[in-house]
Amino acid sequence: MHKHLTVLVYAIALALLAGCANLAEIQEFGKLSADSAGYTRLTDEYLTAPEQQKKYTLASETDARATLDRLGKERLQQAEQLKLYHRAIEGYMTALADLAGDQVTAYDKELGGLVDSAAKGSLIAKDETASLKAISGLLADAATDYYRQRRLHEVIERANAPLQEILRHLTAMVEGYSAAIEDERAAFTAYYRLLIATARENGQRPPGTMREPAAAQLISDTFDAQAPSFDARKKAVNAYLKTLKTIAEAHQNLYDNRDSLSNDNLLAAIKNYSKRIRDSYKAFHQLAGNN
Amino acid sequence: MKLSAQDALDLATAFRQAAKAVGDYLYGNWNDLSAADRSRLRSMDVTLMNVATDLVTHAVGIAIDAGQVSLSDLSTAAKVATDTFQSIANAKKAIVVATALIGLAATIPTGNVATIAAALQNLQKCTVT
Repeated sequence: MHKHLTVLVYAIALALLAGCANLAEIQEFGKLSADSAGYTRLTDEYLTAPEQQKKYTLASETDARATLDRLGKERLQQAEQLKLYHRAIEGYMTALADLAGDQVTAYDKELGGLVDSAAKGSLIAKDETASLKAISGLLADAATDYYRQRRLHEVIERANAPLQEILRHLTAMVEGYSAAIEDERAAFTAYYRLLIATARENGQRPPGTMREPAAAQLISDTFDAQAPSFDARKKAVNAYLKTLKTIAEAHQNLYDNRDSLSNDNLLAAIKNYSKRIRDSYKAFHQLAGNN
Repeated sequence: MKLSAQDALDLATAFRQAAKAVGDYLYGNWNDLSAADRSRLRSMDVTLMNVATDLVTHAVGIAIDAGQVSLSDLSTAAKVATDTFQSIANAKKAIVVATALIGLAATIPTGNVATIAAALQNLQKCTVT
């Protein structure tokens, strides 16, 4: 009797093991994507860009400064939206990694609360709120019903449309940051052109009335030293955009093949996407000086 | 039809380039301009840059009826105005074109088709050679 029971336990264990595929590639993709999407420094910089731009105005340009103050406040209102995008993607990708590794996943209750309060307010458009609610609801279901790997395909199926929507909005915001760098560069350049033109004129006055003849050169040197930083920041943003676009593409591939997640070709493709995400994220960190 | 985030960013680029053209005119003719004209053109240069920043901030959610005012009309008008600065005859004309550019830019975030169309027409008139 005891022998039969032992055999039965082994048989059940083997059956369970057979039902759990090795989806290490999907697990890796989820972890990498969670790390990348959880990075918020660029959005923080986007929010404070008008304040930076204000440095390149004169104290007498009060209207321009007031406009930049207003835009700064408006961007701060977008902060809630941006944080939610980051957090929803990070939460979902963590759950994807957990489930691919046949682990139960935890639910970020704070995310649910933030999405609910955003839905009550007017800062986030209805369609975006719906996408955030869909992801938050899915994560709650996965945690409370102890989803494991066998329900991974359902999770991917439910998540894809809202996830693509959220990634699209986050990408648009990051593209906005890329444009904000151009705004800052334009303001920086115009400000230094004004300083240089004024300093040159002062330096060209007749002997005896000439003021600070070396000022134009000093200002010009400062301009030359600071100008290249805009190119480096733009490159960093482009690398991050590449990361986000690859995450979107990879998840779409998972969705398209959700009924055959253990297929070798799919797993090889996901491994390749992970490599691309790792490479672009690494390049981004190097360019952003985050080593 | 709603103006997309990318459309708004493209327009921001057009106005940023227009600001640069105003700056090129201002600093290219610095020695020939009166203090009042310098001050006015610098102010317009900054205003156009801020218009671009405004468009970037509102890149998502600007509603314009593209059936009556097309993105291409707006971008083309801004580009023509930008090019005009390369051959502009005097400060007075530069200020008129820059004023019309600012007038158009200010109407875009409102999404009001009639106002945008009127400002667009005004800019087009200013840049006819």
